[in-house]
Amino acid sequence: MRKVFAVCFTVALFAFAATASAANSSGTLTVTGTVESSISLTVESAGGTTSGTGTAAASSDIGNISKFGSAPTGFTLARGASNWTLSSTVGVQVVKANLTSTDYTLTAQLGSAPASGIAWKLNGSTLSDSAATTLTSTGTYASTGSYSWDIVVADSAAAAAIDNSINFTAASN
Amino acid sequence: MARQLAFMILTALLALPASASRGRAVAPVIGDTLSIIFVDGTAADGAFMAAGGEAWLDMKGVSHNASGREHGTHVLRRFGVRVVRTSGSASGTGTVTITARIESSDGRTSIRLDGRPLTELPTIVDAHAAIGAVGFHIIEIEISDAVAPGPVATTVTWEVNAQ
Repeated sequence: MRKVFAVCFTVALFAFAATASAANSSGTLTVTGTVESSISLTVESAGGTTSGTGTAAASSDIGNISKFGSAPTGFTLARGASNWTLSSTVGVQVVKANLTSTDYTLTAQLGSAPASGIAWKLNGSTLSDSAATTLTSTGTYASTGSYSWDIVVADSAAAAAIDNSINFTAASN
Repeated sequence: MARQLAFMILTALLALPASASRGRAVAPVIGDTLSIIFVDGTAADGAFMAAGGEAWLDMKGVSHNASGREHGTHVLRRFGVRVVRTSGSASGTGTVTITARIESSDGRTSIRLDGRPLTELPTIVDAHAAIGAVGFHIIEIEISDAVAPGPVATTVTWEVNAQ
């Protein structure tokens, strides 16, 4: 009889425990949004003493240049009969995200009018500040495109700063 | 002896309903009810809306960070979860276990909670959450660069179980 009561008491305890510990609840967190296509352009390399490579705003310092001086870092210097040319390359990379486009068009344009007697060239084309020059219309995403970069200085050009900027624009095709 | 045996069986049968209800996910027990409440953990910007146990995080337009070199787009949001006792015990103290799982998803995003990936299986968010206290968490939504543009939607279910 004592054993029977012990069993009954145990069963009753289990029942009580189940009732006391069964409290629960739930909630929901819904996350929504709209994915938008995007592309990103970075300047990966350039002649001269560069800073900001790997970003969309790099700068290159070529110091003091002269026809009979030495070429700046990362440039070669070629002397002509009436001018001289500093040559290097610019590396530009365009990446895409959430975009089905397979290639892109890359253009370049000078930020301001070049100094008299100075010509800025990319891929052999002379740049201007009034219109964009197409560098490629079949650019490959996520691959750094290398473009020849020439600064042609006429012997008649005044000794002065030639500072300028090249604005690159990529558009998905 | 037969009467004693019958009494034991009756006692066990009386205990059965309570035991069965313990297995159900959302089954309030009379006299002891818990509720989950979401709280925004960031400066109000209208993106996180909460009404009791229902919350909505609207990321709106999401595009890859142009200045970032990482793959994919990541959206992080800090929010709080509070469990309250809405009836039953007079005392609001005690601890509970909070779990979270993906209830539904379009498969276009990956969700992490406090750094741990969420799946359709429950993940313990807090094994000893104090009732009445707000516990803050960070949800991270990752969108692959390969995902086509368009809407995304995921629902995360949170469950609270008393200890």
